[in-house]
Order: sequence, then C-alpha cells, then structure tokens
Amino acid sequence: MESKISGNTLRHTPLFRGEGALFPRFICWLGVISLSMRRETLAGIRKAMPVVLGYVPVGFAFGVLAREAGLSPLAATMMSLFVYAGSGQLIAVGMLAAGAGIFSVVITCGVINLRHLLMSASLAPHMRHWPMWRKLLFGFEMTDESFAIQSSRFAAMCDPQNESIQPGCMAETFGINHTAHAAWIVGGFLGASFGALLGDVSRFGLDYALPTMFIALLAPRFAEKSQLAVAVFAALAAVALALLGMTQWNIIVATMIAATVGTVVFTGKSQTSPVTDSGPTPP
Amino acid sequence: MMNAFEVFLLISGMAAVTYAGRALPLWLLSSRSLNPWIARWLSFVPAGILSALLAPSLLLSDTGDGRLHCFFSLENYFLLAAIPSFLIAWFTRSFLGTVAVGMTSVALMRMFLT
Repeated sequence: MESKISGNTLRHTPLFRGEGALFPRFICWLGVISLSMRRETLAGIRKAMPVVLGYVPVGFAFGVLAREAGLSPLAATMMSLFVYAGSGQLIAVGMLAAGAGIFSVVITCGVINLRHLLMSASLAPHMRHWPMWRKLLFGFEMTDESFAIQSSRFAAMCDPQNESIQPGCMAETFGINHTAHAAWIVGGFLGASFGALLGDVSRFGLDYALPTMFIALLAPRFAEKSQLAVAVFAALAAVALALLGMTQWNIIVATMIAATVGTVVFTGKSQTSPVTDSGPTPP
Repeated sequence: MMNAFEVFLLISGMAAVTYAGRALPLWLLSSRSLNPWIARWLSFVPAGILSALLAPSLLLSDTGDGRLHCFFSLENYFLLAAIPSFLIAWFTRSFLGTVAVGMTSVALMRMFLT
C-alpha cells in the first residue's frame, strides 16, 4: 500500500490513503448504495434535482440565520431534520432573533404550516392502497415543493384505481422525498457551520429557484380552463389579502375561497371532460 | 440564549405542530372514498395553492417597514423572469429547463441591469 508518488500533501492524509482511508471507501459505498437502489428510486433522485437546487441555498440561508438567532449548528441541523418546513423554520429563527418566546414561535410555525393540511388532504385519495406507515412517512416529508411534484405525478402514475403500478411508483415517490429532505438538512448544516465564509448567494439567481419551480408546475395545469380560473382567482385573492395585512393566513384562505368558487362554478359544466393532471375526479 | 431543554422544547413543539397538519389528513382521509363535491374541491387545491404561493412572491415587495405594496416595475426581476419561465414551461413542459431558464434570467438581469 506504500505509494511512491508524492507531492500532493492531501494524498498523505488518512482521509485519502492507507489502511483506513475514508475517501476511497466513501466512493465504494456510494457505488454499492446506488447499485442496490431500484431504478425508480434513482429516477426519483433525478426528479428531485430542481428541488435540491432550491433547497440547498434556502437551507443554507436558514442555517446562517439560525446561528445568528443563537442556535448551535447541531440544533439547526436537528430542526431541519425533524421540522423540515422552509417558511416555518425561517420565520421561527426570525422571531427568536427578535426575542420571541418558544410558545409563540411554535404557534406561528403551526399556523404557517396549516396549508399542508389542504395539500395532504388533496393527495390522500391517491394513497388509498398504501400501508399506513408509508402514508405517515410521506406526511413527514410533505413540503410545498414535494407536494407540487407529487400531485402532478400521482395523477398520472398512482391512479387510486390502478394498483398494479404502485410499487415502482412508491420507490420513486420516496426517492424524491428523501432526496429533497437530505438537501434541506445538508443546506442547513452547511449554513450553520460555514455560513460566514460565503457571501450573498442571490447573485446566482438561487433565490428564484422556488418561484420558478412553482411556475413549472402550474403552467401545464392551465391547459384546463377551470384550473386556470381557480389559479388566477387564488393569485388575486392571496395578493389582496396580503395587502390587507393578512400575511400568514392569506395562502390558505385564498386557496379555500378559490377552490370553493371553482367547485360551484365549474361542477356540472365540465364533468364530461376528465381532469387529467389535477388529482382525483368525481365518478 | 436558550438552554438545551428550551431548544429541545422548541424543536419538538415545531415538529409536532408541523407533522400534525401534514399527517392527519393522510391518516384519516385516505382509506375512504370521498363525496364527489369534496373530491372536486380538492382537485382545485393544487392549482390554487401553488398560485397563492407564487403570486405574492412575484407581485409584492416589502418597503422595509414591514408593509407590503404592489411592485410593478422594470426592476422587479422576479416578475420579468416569470415571462420566459412561463413560456418555457408551457411549450416544453420541461421542469428542469424551466427552473434553469428562470434562475439564469434573474442572474443575468442582476448582472447587467443593476
């Protein structure tokens, strides 16, 4: 194992060379792990890449702010692991930095994340055939972004009437969710540990990753008039409510109003055209 | 500065309220068939919620004193970049392509227009 080649000091560190070298082992393990994965899991990891692009920098920003609010890197990473809520965590560290108490931070976090109640209710019918622990694991990793991807996928692939394609669909589903979650945790850890070393990341346009992702997921739905109408109505309502000072409830209230208007206006008119990419349809 | 117990309370409290909202509907709703009206209502939720999340980030800006106002200006790069993003999304249906075009547009505008 003695190497004659020298000059690069890095190669002489125990990380790269010798009996217990960590780096070659790490590469080996990555190979073994990815070979042992299902094809669908790897496809899921690939599909999660846009989310990773958005989560690493936003998670990083969270880590930096968490440090400034007095949380240790370990606490910030644990929060990203167990809470896993972008806006909830960012607002929480903002409140902590401003001196808010734990109770009010927890309540605010709950209110902000109430919108996930609507999201998981709209996904629930697609998981009818899933074992309960899978559903509960899915709920743990359901964020705005994973919901956006999964709601489009589920309508196309995980039809509740069709049980035969469920296993592959499930592997890809969790491939996407675990990858996004990992990116969020890594971003938070890096931000909390090394945040001070890096300047402003917004010059790379990374802060636009999440808005543009919502655009990518919304646009195809606009092929259907009723979906377009609901989206426009929800947008106007969310903006108007925010301008009136409702900045925490506006998303959920605007969505509920728009969905109700859509149901009342469009039920009966468009029942003949099946909803192709927008979730469960009435029989 | 918080002690370890307070940090534990904070994280477990936030995790509990967040998880409750995400998991309860999956636990309670997914094993029964829904009333067609409710199913129809839920089918509008994805488009509505995505749009309600997106619109304020494109159209509103914070004045600095915590108040929001409409931001219609050629300096609103998020709104301008939404145009090429939307066109790419509509015509190519490419997810990664849309995200790349959107982020590149914002980065270029920041580089050359500011």
